[in-house]
Amino acid sequence: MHKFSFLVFHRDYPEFLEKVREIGVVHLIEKQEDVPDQVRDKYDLIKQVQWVVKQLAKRDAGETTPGEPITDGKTAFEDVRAYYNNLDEKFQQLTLLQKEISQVRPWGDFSKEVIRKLAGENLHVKFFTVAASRFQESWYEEYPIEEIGRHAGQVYFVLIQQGEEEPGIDAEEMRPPERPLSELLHYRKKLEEDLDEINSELDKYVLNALDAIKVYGYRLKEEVDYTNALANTDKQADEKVMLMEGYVPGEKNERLIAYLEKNNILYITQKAEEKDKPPILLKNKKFAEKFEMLGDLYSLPKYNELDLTPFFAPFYMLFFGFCLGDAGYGILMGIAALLLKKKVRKELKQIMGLVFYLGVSTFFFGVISGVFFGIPLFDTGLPVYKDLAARFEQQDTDINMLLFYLSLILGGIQIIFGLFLKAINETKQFGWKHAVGTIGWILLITGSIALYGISRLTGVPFADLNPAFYALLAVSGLMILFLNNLNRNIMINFGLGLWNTYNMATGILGDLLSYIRLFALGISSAILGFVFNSLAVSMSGSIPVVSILVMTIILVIGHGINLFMSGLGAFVHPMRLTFVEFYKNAGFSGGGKQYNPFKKIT
Amino acid sequence: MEPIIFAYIGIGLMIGLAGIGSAFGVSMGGNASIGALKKNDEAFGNYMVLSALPGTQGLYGFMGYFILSGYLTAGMSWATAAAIFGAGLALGFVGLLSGIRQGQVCANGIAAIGSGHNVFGNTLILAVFPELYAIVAFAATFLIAATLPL
Repeated sequence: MHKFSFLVFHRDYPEFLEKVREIGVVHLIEKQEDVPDQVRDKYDLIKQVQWVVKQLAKRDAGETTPGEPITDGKTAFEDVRAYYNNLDEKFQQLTLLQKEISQVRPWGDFSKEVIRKLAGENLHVKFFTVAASRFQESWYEEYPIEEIGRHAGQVYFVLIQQGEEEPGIDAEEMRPPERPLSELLHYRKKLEEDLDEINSELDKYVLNALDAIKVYGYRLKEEVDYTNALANTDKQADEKVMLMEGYVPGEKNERLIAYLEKNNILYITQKAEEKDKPPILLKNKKFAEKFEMLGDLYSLPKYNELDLTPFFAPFYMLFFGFCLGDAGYGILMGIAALLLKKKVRKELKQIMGLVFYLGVSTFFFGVISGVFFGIPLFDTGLPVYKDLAARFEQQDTDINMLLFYLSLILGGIQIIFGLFLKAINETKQFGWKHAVGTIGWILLITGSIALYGISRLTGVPFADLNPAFYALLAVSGLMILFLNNLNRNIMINFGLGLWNTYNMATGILGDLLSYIRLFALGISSAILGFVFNSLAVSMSGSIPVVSILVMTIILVIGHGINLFMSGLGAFVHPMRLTFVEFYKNAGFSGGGKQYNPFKKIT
Repeated sequence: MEPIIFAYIGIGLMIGLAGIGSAFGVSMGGNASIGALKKNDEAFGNYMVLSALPGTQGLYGFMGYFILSGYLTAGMSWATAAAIFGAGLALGFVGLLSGIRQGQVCANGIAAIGSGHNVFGNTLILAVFPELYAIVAFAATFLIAATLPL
């Protein structure tokens, strides 16, 4: 990343900004602290446009005949927004109306006018309801009542009351309905027609104006970017000279420099410094690039910090395969990824690429652990697996025990690899003098493993190698405790070295054990697959065609569940191993912000 | 008491408690999802993945039973029964509590995503912290089964 400072005469500035935007490589340095109201309003508007675009895109325009395409995105957006507001309002009215209809329905139709006239004659119509079980036929003789209807176990009736005296009937009096049913139904019909009309109008906009509205949204975004660019410009020399600063990745600056030189624009360029916190643009090649989206879930590296994506990518792939570990699922994933890759949008192509790699690894580990759609291959007597199973039995072990150790070994490799990266990272960022402590740890761990290995391979007892071990301890101990940072006082180094040793001693064992999850998840996915296979066989019965049908259903649903649950675990757990165990040992701190250049969108 | 009764009590605890843990966990996620959908209905995929995370404990409990089922015979020894009971106790309780706790982490993450914070990745990472112990208990069950005489 290079830092560019441009000095431009104020009259040339708009043209300059336009050109810089067209070239689209400069990440502007933000200077203003508050967002002005005007910009905030624009952001709100952009959100509304995005909402409208999303709503329109969701609609199925069906057989609407497309009219003239609308080119004015702004008007189209405002119209559509108004339609949606109207739609909302009408919909709420309809909901209220439905409620009212359900209350009035038992009373049916009546004339308000007649009721009012009767009231004028001192005859008051009262509305009552009572549970059908409590309604007494004798009431007909005792009171002037008339049953209107029965609904949901209730009897609805009216009573004509003369004068003010309460009739004292044992039923619940209801509030008289405001409007008769026919009026409500008529009103509902009208509302539904209105809704249909609005919807068909909106459908027309889907076909005629969606693109124009999208473009309007992009324009607004560009306007905001432009306003921000202006706000981030320093006005110098009585506002005659404009000073703008920004970052440009080294390999993208050719066109910009050519333009600046050609137009005699004054600029200064220098290598970006870490203290200014320049933006981050990751540069990974084909394979590792696909894993960038996983790394993004955690954090981008700091400037100057080693990007760990290419280093965790192969491990992540292996770990995923270890956790899912089924050759059949691996094949399914691989085929699905290859088929979908051609069909999906551009952004999803990367994901399909990732799924393909993970599928390959799943297949590979499925072959190793001998699992194919939950079938344990070691028990099947297939040629290679039969020999292997016999050999394991001779040595009193089985594939699962080996996988258990393999998970720990892979973990150990990743942790030591992480420490190597930490040493490289420290050297890259601060110089080798800062990395001595880490190198001491690497020496201690790899040296001890090497000595243990030698003693096992050559048959020499470990006690005989003690002198070498003590020498190793002395050298690495010196590096860890006293020389961990050659630029510091040795006593401070000692204190920090002790603290560091405490952290390593408690941390590294826990980190290593954490890798057991690879083994356990692998076993769990294999067993669950096996469980569904046995269920399918035992529950399918013996009726010729039906049994095959039942078996297929159980197998498809069962393996579907297993693929989802175990796949989720296999996705998440290696991610934790990457971000917690690996990143910690590799000394990753992160916190960079994304490179986001000022550029044209439309 | 016959040894097999003791062993089956362990199995019951294993399947039952781990299953209850998952049931609690996934419902917490589900409840939070429904609330979050009201604010932000575009992230349903994220909510679903997070809600499903605490579902594994119940499966571990069930698979623990599956691993041990071959040893549950009428004439089993007290040592085998005790091993099965111990494994059941461990996997059952760890599954119960880690399922509930994991559900809480997921529910908070879902609520945060609903309010517009982009914390899906962070929640995924943090949510698997409590699950590790259920995985370890499951691995221990597997290792216990490996030591039992047939």
